[in-house]
Amino acid sequence: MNTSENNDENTPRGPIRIDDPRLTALALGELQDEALLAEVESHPDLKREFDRIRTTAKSLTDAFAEEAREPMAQTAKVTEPASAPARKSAERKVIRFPFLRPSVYVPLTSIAAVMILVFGIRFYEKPTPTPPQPLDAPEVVLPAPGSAAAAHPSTTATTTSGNVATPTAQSGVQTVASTTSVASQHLPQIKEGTKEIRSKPSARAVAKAGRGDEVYILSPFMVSAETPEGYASGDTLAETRMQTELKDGGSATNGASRKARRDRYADCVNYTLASPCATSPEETVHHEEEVTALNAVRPLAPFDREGYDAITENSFTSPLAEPLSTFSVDVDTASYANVRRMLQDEELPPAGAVRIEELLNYFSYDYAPPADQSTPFAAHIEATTAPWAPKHELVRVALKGYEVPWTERPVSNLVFLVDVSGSMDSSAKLPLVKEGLKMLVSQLDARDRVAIVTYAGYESLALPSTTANNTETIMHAIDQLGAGGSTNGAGGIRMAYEQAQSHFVKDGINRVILCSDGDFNVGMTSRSDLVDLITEKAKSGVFLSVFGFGRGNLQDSTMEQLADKGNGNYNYVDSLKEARRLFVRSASGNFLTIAKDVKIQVEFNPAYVQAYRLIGYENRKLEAQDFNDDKKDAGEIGAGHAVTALYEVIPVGVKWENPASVDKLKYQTMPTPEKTTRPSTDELLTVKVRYKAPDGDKSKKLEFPLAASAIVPWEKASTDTRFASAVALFGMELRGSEYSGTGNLRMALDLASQALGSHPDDERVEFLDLCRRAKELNQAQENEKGTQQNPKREEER
Amino acid sequence: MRKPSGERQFRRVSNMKRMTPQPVSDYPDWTAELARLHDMPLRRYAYSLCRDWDLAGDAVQNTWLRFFKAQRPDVEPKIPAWLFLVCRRQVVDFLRRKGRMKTENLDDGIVGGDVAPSYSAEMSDSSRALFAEMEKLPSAQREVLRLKFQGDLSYAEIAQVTDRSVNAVGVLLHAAMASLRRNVRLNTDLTA
Repeated sequence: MNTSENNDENTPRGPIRIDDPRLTALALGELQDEALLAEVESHPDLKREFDRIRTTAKSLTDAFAEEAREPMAQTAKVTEPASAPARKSAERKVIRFPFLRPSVYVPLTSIAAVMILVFGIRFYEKPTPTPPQPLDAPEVVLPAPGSAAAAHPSTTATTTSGNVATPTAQSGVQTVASTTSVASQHLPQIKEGTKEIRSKPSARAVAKAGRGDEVYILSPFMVSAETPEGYASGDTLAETRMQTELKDGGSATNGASRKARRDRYADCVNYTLASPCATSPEETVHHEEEVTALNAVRPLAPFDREGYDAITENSFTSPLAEPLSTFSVDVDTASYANVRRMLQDEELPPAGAVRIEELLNYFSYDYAPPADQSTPFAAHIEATTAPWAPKHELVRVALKGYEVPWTERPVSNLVFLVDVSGSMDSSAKLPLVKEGLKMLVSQLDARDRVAIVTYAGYESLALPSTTANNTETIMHAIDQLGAGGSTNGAGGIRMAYEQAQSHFVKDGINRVILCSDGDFNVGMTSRSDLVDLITEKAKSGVFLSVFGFGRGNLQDSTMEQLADKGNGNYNYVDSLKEARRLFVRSASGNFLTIAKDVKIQVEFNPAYVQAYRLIGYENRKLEAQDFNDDKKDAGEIGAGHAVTALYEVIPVGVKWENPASVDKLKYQTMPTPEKTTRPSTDELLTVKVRYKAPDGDKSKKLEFPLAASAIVPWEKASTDTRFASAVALFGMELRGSEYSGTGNLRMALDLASQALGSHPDDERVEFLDLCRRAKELNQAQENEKGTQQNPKREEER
Repeated sequence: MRKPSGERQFRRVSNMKRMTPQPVSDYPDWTAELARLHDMPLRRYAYSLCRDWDLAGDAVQNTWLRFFKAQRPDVEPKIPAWLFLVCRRQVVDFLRRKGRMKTENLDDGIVGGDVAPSYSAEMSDSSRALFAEMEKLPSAQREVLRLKFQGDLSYAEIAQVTDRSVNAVGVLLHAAMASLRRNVRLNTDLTA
């Protein structure tokens, strides 16, 4: 282990060069060769590289040192030194370490006890000491034996004894201190059926446990209460723990085969946290602490816990069959932020996460707002050729709402509804929520009111409605929010709306701002129930803004539906930058509604349009008759918001096979363009918009026709249209759409870079980067599929 | 000098009596000190290999278990490399047993690399950026970086732990540092 061992036969010899690994070895102090060092010193470029390596090494060392201070993975420090009466935790029956003599047991178990204590302390949930009941039936800590949760080793142990200091009380706030969050990771082996960490578990108890009793305590150095050979048994610690776990957790798993156990362990490994106990409310109440601990433990849930609905793309339809295309507007932007987050994490998003309308609406366009506020929006329609199918046309329909500077907003009454369940405990969630809300609060003043309702296992009013000039009070309340517990969303929603309604301001902004990762797992958990609840609440005139946070657990579809039915918008916050964009820059748009239930209906003229296809808005589609039905809920538009929709149109004269075939009608003649079109119309289409005032009930209608001659060639189309088309193509490609014609991600990138406009903002530039990433990831995926037959191990580069 | 992989075999009590036993367990203070120093790095290391905190915890526990059984004179000169080595073997064992690895190569068994650890807001941007860039490196390079800068092992120790030649370790480290520097320069505005 001395440096001379470095000189392998394969070490390069001769003069050192920049790409020589010896340079790094020198810089890292591994190689102590005076001659080489002198050589490096004498060449300026080598010296520069040498210094750079040193700097990088320093940064790395610092980074690891910082990581060492991170709470997430930190081992509990030995702060409580062993006052533990060290005892025989090992008895001959249990541990077969034949060479451990009795005189060794004492120090050995003292260390064991130290470790137990140190780790066990971290695992504290209940402060109340319970009298030692050695062989009680264990608390059923796991909801369903055989479920992944039951098998998870670290779901053990929540109750610990009172004879050791209790760092975290099971307070109402359910704060999981960072120290406790660590514990269960290395304490899976302590089964707390006895409700007490007994520093001296009697050998008998342990031995008894070994015989299949339900209660036992394992020290880290006990491998299995059953396997007599102890460590040599070939079982891993986990597996043996599994065995005893299962014996404990439920009779159903008694006698589970080894293979089943292993499989369950394999499941556990992929298991993540968010709703371990999503079985029934009663059960979850018991398991709150476990869930807290569990929730706290898992730093990241794996990707597959996120929830996305599948989307069926709109297909080409003939106006002879369906002349009216109707949809509700949508100003959500969550899908773009979410997709961006995934691409930045080097993963391709699932098709269900890509909602093209949200990609389009994320960007700001140069549409002119209406001349005055009597009409809430102006419409801008443009038609050009489709870049991915040159014979097709693209029609861009845009609505732009009137702007209201934030300073000119009316009185507002806001309720922050914050999910503080355990799953929000990661750094990308609750801390970001707090920052975002604080940013918003700093924009408010005396005319606004803020209340904070939190929900975890139960809801609580963290701050009653307070005028926003009490900034400190509000900021303090926000700071105090801590995560832990399960997620009883329905209770929170009810309380939030109650607060909002009790301080309702007429002609003002009344809004519930929900910040969550969307994972409701207690109380009303079924999405339809929650949606019904929110639909009912929406009638109260209080609007809703939903902000999604976090990764790995994002229930995207739930949140979108809530926003949809709750008269609101849904945005995803993945970074401080995005928080600033949403809570500060677009505050007017997100919180000030200028029109409610906005629906768009487009009628296509069959004389010019052979087929049309709405790109995106799949889950916003409405029936034709819903357009005039004021009872049908639709989207809301905020101040300054713009809504963009793209139709791909196949003009008459272009060859198109209608894939949907319908039998010839028996009692009517099939409509043809000549017979059905009204004469003297040289319009391509007409866009109709219906909207209600924010507090109104009757809708008003606006109409905007587009002349057939208004089609411009692609190069002449505005930058906004061209950029929007690039974004749409990007979305279609990510979804694997069959309609992208000759388009691909490379084309999307090219189109977008040519359509940046004279003042490209950050968002557009960022989009280019996303295109690039998506392209590379796609490529990588293709390559992987190709080379799966010959996995080449590249050990050295 | 590595421990033979047959180290799982128990020595019988009679054998024990013949040697001058100096089991690690005789030295609680020393052990506790080592535990304090290395437990967390070992856990992080194990996690970085398998991306699973529970598995990491188990591997580290097993490492300590073995450590306890070992003889102090044997292991003392090799700490901490010995710990990392055993830990790594544990992780490999676990992964192999779960059927996730067809070969001995840890790279096959490591879960995707797409589950990146998240860090709290206290971590500085530069460190965070570094870790983010590190995630993009091949797992072999990542492991070597971690062993070098977190575990502070020498090339030879790293070679032992990862079962490679010292030369290979040197090349990996060199490549890793070069990529890291280049990517950090490109993707952030940090100068490194």
